[in-house]
Amino acid sequence: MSSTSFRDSALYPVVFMLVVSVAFVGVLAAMFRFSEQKIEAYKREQYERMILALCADSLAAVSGQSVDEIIASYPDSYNNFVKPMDEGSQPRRAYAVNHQERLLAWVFDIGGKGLWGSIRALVATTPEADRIIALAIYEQMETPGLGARIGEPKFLGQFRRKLVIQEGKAVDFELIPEDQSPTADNQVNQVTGATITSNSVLKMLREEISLIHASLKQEEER
Amino acid sequence: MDISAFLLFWAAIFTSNILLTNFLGMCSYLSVSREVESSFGLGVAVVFVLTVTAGLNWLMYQLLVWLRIEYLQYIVFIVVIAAFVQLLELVIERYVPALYYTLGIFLPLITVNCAIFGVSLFLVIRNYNFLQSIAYGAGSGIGWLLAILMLAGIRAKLKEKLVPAGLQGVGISLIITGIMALGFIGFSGVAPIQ
Amino acid sequence: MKLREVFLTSAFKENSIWRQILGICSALAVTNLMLNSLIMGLGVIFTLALSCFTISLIRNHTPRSVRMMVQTLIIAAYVIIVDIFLKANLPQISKQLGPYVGLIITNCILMGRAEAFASKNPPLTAMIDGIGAGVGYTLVLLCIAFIRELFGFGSLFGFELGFLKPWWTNWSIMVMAPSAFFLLALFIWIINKKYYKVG
Repeated sequence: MSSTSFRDSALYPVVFMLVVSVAFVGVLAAMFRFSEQKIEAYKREQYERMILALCADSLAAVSGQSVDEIIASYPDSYNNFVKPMDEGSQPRRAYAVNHQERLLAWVFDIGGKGLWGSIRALVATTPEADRIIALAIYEQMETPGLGARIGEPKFLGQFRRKLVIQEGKAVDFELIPEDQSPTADNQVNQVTGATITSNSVLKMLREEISLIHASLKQEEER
Repeated sequence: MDISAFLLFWAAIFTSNILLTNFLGMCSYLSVSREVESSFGLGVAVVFVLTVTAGLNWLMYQLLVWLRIEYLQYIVFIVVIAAFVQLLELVIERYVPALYYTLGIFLPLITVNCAIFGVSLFLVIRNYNFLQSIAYGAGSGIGWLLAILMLAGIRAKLKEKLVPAGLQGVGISLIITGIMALGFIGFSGVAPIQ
Repeated sequence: MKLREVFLTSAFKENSIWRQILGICSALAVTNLMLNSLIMGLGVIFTLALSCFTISLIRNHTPRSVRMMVQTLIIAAYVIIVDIFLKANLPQISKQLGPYVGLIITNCILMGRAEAFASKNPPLTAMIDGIGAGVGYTLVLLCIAFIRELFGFGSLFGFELGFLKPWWTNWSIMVMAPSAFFLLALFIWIINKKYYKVG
């Protein structure tokens, strides 16, 4: 009787595959669980720092501290001035920026679809949500060096104090080439070679802020 | 997502061609396009793999979400693709051995064809439903097939002896593809597929 | 086989990009900036070293029918391990690498080396071959990125070249992917003439 080793049986590949899979996935899962907290904590901190940075100017104007002082004194300044709103109380995740009981600004977590994936941003607006105070993008999957340049200060800086809702209607933004000087308030310099991504940002702002503005108005009228 | 699967299918073939717009799936495309015959064979294999794995991976992703282990998606997707390609390799070796020998190493390399992995990732990112995934997978596959046939056809017609010796083969293929890609940039934004 | 020879062969003589035509997709995507090319290159080198070593280690036990799945699993696992490690300990670098993780897993070079070399050679040799392939790949990437970044952004490694500012207009085409096609073709042409003495 010939003896066939386990190696030659049809079961061997299955067992082998299983063992290798379990081994590697096990290592992965362990690494993930182990680092999960650290990664989450880091993400959380970056997120909160971003919120703070968005409204640092507005806070500096009324609180007497300088912009740098406010940013440097995280997490105290964050806990002092920023208050997360309850889930569901606003159409998007919202943070209220208060100074001495007075609402200075809102910061909303908004999202849209870019070319390669979704874009998630934090936008600071005036209490009426009709004008952007500042914009920051915290997640995107666009091509680095191309579409991803929407995350650069050069592109985002254009949105400081930009009017988005005028007389109840969304402002019609227009993209102009990167090196051209804007001649009107509704003109935005695009990122060269990334028209679709630049447009995605405009679309996201228009749609999200219109939604938020309408919802706030409804609240007011109640 | 409100895009009809039908529109997705056609957009994936023409206006958002996985190879000429997203530049995925280059390696085998450049090497196998030497002959129209093997290009067609590889292309059909890719269509098949793309359509089936798009569906399979959509199902796997729902399972991963249900089990709260989405971080394993890269591994699961690529292993599903690898398993399916391995199966396909065995079938082709058995029933169409001529194709098996022509394709050589490029058959197992379908596994790491970024186009296939890319489609699986895209359908997760863009939140397609099952029907949309299949349509997008099939369309992308046919788009890839179209692109490789175009290149193979051009290379067949091209009088290669007129091409400088250093550019023959890969060099001229890259230039031709570059020109085609430039042309396809004109399609951007025509059909919104997300 | 002397290790030095193995390294030089996989890095230059049998270079992944210009000789074997593998790893093209990523070469098109990341070469718009030199920094991105470097990060991608280092990621690929590291993963190549680890995966070739491991695949070679179990090569005599891997059944033929599942070898591709095993190779893919190992490659993907290492890429993700590297990604998680960076996310937890070097988050800034991880942010740069983020979009490229998927590209490394499907980088044909990894599978190509695993299939062609690692599955048939002892671990240390396989690892050196892997590293060589990665280094060769990175060098080609950097060469192309040098031109693309210089002409497309007027900078190198992110540093704007001040003396170019006043009179230089950026070439938009260099920023977009098709330029990589043309540059790569040109590069291959030059290499073929000088190195392989073709034509």
